[in-house]
Amino acid sequence: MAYFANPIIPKLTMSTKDEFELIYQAYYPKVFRLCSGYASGRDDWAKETAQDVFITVWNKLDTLKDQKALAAWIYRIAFNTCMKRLKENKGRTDLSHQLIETAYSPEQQSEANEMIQKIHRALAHVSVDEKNLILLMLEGLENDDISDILGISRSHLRVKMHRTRQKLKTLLEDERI
Amino acid sequence: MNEFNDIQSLWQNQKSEPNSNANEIIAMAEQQKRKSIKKHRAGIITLSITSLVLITFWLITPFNNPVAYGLSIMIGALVCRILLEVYSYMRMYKIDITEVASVYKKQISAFYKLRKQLVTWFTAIAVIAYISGFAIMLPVFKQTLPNWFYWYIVIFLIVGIPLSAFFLIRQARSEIMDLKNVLSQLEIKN
Repeated sequence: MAYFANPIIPKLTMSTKDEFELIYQAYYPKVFRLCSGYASGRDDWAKETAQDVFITVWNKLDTLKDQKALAAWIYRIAFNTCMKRLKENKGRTDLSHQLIETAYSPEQQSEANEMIQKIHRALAHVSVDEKNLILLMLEGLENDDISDILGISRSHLRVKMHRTRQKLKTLLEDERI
Repeated sequence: MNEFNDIQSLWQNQKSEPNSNANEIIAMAEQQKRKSIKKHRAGIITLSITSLVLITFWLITPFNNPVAYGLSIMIGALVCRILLEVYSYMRMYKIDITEVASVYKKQISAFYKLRKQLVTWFTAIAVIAYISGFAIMLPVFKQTLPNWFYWYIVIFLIVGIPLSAFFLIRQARSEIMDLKNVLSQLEIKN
């Protein structure tokens, strides 16, 4: 199994609190992006959900048996928390008023923001399954890891990835979105 | 900019500062645990007291008369409702949030479908049973209670039942709308 280019937190000689602190620092941005993908870019909902994810991570950390599976485990909790909180995600955001902070120069910022907003709008037009897949692909995860997180076979994943990538492309090219 | 790699790098460059630090998250988790234990205890105490009052009331009522029948229907409906709520809570509690996404989605969809059933037809049946139980007792009330008190109950019910029904339906409709919305998002639509 190609266990991610993501950090694996060493457990030896570390207190649970220190371990959690490291996990939080390493995974917060990834979890936040995933939650924001679910919330059509709604910052407040994404932050609250990310907070919920890490509360669960803290509560269940002692149940994680395989330390190497940490990243997959966190992504699973993040997806499941998003699905669980869909009920509270009633509002749709007008993204035109919301600027997303990126690491780009001011010149590129406008184009970058526009594209990020478009991705969020496109994500609002796909099913939960497709959304999960797109968000993991955007995070650059390996196929083996994606199938491990989503619970689908490798062969089925390849087919789904191809279809979903095409759908995302079509949505992003659609001027009405 | 529409190549997948460009989009990917743009996506990964998004930054966000968390609302809280790790220690605050730990404090929140511990507080949530304490709250949950308190809530759980309060729920058990309330259910125990309610059950005790209902059973006592039922036991002291003489059998084979309309009051006993009416009360039995009302208590039965209430007990069934409480048991189903407990079952629903237990089902939700058993859902494992660390499961793979496809399994979790199935579990949560099944749970929401159960809630939908509970909110719609079972609530309706419970309300009808409750009203029927009371209606069965009315002739006895007419015979045994002072006239003014009997009419007080009747008028109170005429006003109270539609009012309660209104709030109940409003609450149920809101929950059903939310559940429908979530279920439609969770269902696969390819």
